[in-house]
Amino acid sequence: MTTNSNDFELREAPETQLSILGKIWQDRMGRIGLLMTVSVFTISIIGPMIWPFDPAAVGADASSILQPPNSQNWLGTDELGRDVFSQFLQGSRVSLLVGVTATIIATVIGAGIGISSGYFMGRLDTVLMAITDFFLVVPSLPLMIAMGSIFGQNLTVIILIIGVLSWPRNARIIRSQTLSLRERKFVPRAKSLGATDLRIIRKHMIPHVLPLVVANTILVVAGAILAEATLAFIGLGDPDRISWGSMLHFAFASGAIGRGAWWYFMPPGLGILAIVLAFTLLGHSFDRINNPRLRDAA
Amino acid sequence: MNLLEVKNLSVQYGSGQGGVLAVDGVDLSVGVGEFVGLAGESGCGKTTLAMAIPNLLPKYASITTGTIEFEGQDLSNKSESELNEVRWRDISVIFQGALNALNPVATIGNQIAEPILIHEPGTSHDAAITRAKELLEAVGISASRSSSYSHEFSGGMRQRVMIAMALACRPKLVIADEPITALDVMTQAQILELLRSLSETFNLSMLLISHDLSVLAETCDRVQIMYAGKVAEVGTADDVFGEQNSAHPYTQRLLKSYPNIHQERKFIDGIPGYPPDLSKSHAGCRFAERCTVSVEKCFTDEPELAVISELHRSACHLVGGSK
Repeated sequence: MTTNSNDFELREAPETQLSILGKIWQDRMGRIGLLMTVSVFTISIIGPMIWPFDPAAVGADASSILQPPNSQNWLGTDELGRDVFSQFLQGSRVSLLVGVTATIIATVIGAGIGISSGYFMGRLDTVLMAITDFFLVVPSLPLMIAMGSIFGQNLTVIILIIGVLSWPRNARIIRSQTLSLRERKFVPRAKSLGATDLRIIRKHMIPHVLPLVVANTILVVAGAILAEATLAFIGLGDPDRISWGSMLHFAFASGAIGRGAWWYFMPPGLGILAIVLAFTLLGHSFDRINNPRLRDAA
Repeated sequence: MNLLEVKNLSVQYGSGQGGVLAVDGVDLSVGVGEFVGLAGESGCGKTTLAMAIPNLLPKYASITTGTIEFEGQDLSNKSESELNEVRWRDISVIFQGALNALNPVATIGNQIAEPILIHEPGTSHDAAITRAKELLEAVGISASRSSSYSHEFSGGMRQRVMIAMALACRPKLVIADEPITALDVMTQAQILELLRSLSETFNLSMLLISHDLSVLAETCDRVQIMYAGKVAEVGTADDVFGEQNSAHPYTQRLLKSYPNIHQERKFIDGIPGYPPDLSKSHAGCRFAERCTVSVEKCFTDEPELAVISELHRSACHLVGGSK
């Protein structure tokens, strides 16, 4: 009976052959999200390199102030005669930078706290979850404003503030998943093999919670971008950097809205909308792929 | 000298008033190359006894008395890190419900390699995988399957993987806790045959736990019947299961609970009643209440294991005379 085991040789399973991007592409929501995300990234990376105007170059005379779109300045000029389109391109970089880095911080903290809390349980769990609950119920915007005005207005501080305030949801979700995972039989098995806690977490826990982490991460990006725009709009952004939020801030402050200078405030507004929508669609699509129960819901 | 010599072992779950003495003063020995079967009803302490050997008991269980001598050294008072030296290198375990004991998101090869990487720290990952492949071949699975995942395997194949994992560090003793439960009869036979042939190639001793007496009768050299945390009977498979040989009423009733293909068809006898509550203390024989031949003495005096023949012992007042 020994080795006719070639009979068991693996058959091609078409479903598993699709990479995760392929699966997202199959999903309508995911495809739109993916296309939008890729175009936003492309624009923000390549855009400022090829668009000829310096976003900070002030107009030469009064006639260049608040010009509507024309053949030279595609999106017109602002109250100082600066080119709006080049600001728009430059601003997308800040949004993406803040969105991605703040999310990495939030994910590392959230996953770390979630996994250790769920895996070790006991007193550590009680303490960590008390902290998590605290951050979960604290209204984050006022806290961000307070921290922003205390720690100063530069990009690093803003990224840190957003990152440190965005992890609690992640931690809660990952903790629940870990709690259920640690009761699966392969965990005591690995333990009796002599595996250390670190090894079990690395080899048996993280691979299991990873899809969940990724799905949440994408959604956190959208939140982080919005948070940055909000801070910048109320004037707590980095004054040295143009972001979509700060463009809205200056448009509002200079009365562009009242003067009907739509080319000044619409692009950053729509930009924020598009980028948040892109990441949200992508996140939901990813969630749906990983959670079969949601698959037929939409 | 025996490979494993357990003496007067007691294991208690919980403590104080509510504590349950799941294993109560039990002896057990396994010789080199020997297959020992452990049988009994659910909840009679088989698994607890077996898991106490490499001390893989849950936190709320504790060994209260007794010694566990493995190759002359007592395991019962070793620290966790000392036990880790023994586990898998000397004593490995095939777990109960092995079908769920594989990680669905790790490859089979990596999982078999895990004990090698843990217990032989110098081994490179590639070398460990190579050995995992050899082990897969040894249990009758093509080495090319080492990069598969457990959901791509059938129940019997997963059980083979668990066996391969137990053999990974070339142990001397393998504790197999219900290795064939939840498999169909054909697969059961294949797995048992595999265990037998592997024990010869790897020179293994085996402690086989099962409630399937026919399996034990066929594969084991010696069999130990447990009842309510105590040894009821121990002897060679022939002593315990032989037609006229079994010397304990419990064993006799257990055997009657199975249909005999050589006899005419009739309703099989079960054993009415339940095993006693182990959280209470007992006077007399624990089987007395369910025993059809019990006498007054059975309810007052606890029987000791009486010698019947060289290897055969039975704990019953009615056999073995004097006690």
